[in-house]
Amino acid sequence: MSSIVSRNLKIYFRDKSAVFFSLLGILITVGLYFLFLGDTYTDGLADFNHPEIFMAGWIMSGLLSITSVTTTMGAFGTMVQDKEKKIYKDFYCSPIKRSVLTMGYIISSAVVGLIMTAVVLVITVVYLAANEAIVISAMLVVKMILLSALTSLSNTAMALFIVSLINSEKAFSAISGVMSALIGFLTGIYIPVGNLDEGVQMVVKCFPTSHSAVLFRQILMENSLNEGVKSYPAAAQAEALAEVKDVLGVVFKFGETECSAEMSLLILVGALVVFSSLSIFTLNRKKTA
Amino acid sequence: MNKIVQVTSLKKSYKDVHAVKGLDFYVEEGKLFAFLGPNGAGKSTTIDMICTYLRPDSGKILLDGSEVGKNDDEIRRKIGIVFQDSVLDPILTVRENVTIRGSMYGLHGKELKEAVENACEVVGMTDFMKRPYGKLSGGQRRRVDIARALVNTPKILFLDEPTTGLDPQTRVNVWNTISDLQKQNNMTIFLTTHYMEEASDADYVVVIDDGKIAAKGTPAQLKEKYAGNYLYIVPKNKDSLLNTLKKNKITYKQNIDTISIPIVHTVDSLEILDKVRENIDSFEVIKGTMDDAFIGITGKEIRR
Repeated sequence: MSSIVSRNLKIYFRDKSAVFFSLLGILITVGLYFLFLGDTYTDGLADFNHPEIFMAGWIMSGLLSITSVTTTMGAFGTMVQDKEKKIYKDFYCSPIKRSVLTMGYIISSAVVGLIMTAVVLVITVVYLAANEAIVISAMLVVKMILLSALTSLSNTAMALFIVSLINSEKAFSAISGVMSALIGFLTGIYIPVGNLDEGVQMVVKCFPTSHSAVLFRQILMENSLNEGVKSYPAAAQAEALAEVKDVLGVVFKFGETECSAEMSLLILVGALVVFSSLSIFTLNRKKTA
Repeated sequence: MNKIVQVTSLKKSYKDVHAVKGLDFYVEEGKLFAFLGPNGAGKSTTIDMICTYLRPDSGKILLDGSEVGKNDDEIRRKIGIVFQDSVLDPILTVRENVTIRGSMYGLHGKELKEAVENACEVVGMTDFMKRPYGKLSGGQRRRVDIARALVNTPKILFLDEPTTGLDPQTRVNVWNTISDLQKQNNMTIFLTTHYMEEASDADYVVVIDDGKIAAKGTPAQLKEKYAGNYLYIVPKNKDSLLNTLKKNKITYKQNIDTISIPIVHTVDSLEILDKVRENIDSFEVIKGTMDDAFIGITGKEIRR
């Protein structure tokens, strides 16, 4: 198993252009934000103290939640390629179980997701601490690491399910391209969820990865939002805070009910379980063919 | 002689296409066995079934005592396969490729390292261990493919058209590696090919066409049986020669300046030559080639 995982990892990391393209979704987000979206948002939030500080936390939360979507998709590319080039024929004629082989692909993709998210995590923490948006504490670091891990695994399962439906490299590159472009909208990180219309908001709120972004925001924006809202008179602070949290998607509301942090966690775990089971089902069905 | 592979009434269809329609043959241990046939005859399908990749519709395959479909993992440990298309990772080095595939046989540590070194040494690729597989030439890649197939020291090596797509010089090179393997290591080699020269170097040839066995035997037997021999005569006086032939009811064919007479055995030419001795300017007896045998068997030109 370990040699198959290391093979898949080597294939992924050595193909520099594949790594680049699997990071494209992230690069697009960063580019958009720093080039023009960032200013638009902070201008709209001019009533707050230093909106650029909590918006930095906002954008980094989004990045952390989607990094493992596009990178694990990229890593699963090896699986599609092996199918297309009939490399799996060589594996099937070796004394190695097919389930071990499949697990090899899954574990290596999860590892790719974890590594890439870890890199973004370090950048996030350093960048936000340098901008005084967060105060680094042991608690914060532990929470961030656990949430990053859960996000990566949940996203790996989702990517696996998508890839398990694909048979050709052409379809794979088309779908991963669409995913890279769409993921920022689906998770409400290009445009704050409150600025979208009702129907689209619902889509964002039901998309599991969005809940990872929500949880990251709750950790990373807590301090800076509390600071930012101090520009309001004391009586209006609570209301302003609730509103900005709703608009930026720090808390999701379904109707009038707030979605709690526990609920969001449950949705991520649920996605992990459901997508894994679905993938096992589709992969097994194909094996018999 | 020990029969290392034994195939009985093997059948396989893909939906409406009957790829293999009942094959019976065996391969003797330590021999070079060639599976010959035009494209689409069912060669690859048969190899895929023997190598446990495809499940036969019916029939039985025994490989060194283990039955395909029952002891697949045991069989997989005993075989090495060089596929028609390359199945190694172009982005990884030769050493990485062979090592990864070696580890799938449960080899590890020092044992694995030695197996990789040995396999690469046999095919003469030790100088290229650190090069990415994708950057090698076609012939070098084929050698690495063979090294990969040898990494688990198989009892039998399958090669599916190992020299297709290589230039003539490289082909000879790769071919020499294969026949050295068989002679020096006494390894059983099972190969499919559509090159006649290669088949004529084999110990035993099975010709399949349209999913069935069209002929089998040693190259010499096949040539003897299916490739006609010809006697060519350049006469002094053409008309007189033709008259003599007609009188003796010998079939002939007129070419531009020669008369060709099909004969069963080359010695049969002596009798004919005796009858027309005075009229011969020159003559030659041509023994049938594997090409002729192939055309004789399948009625098809072999693809070159």
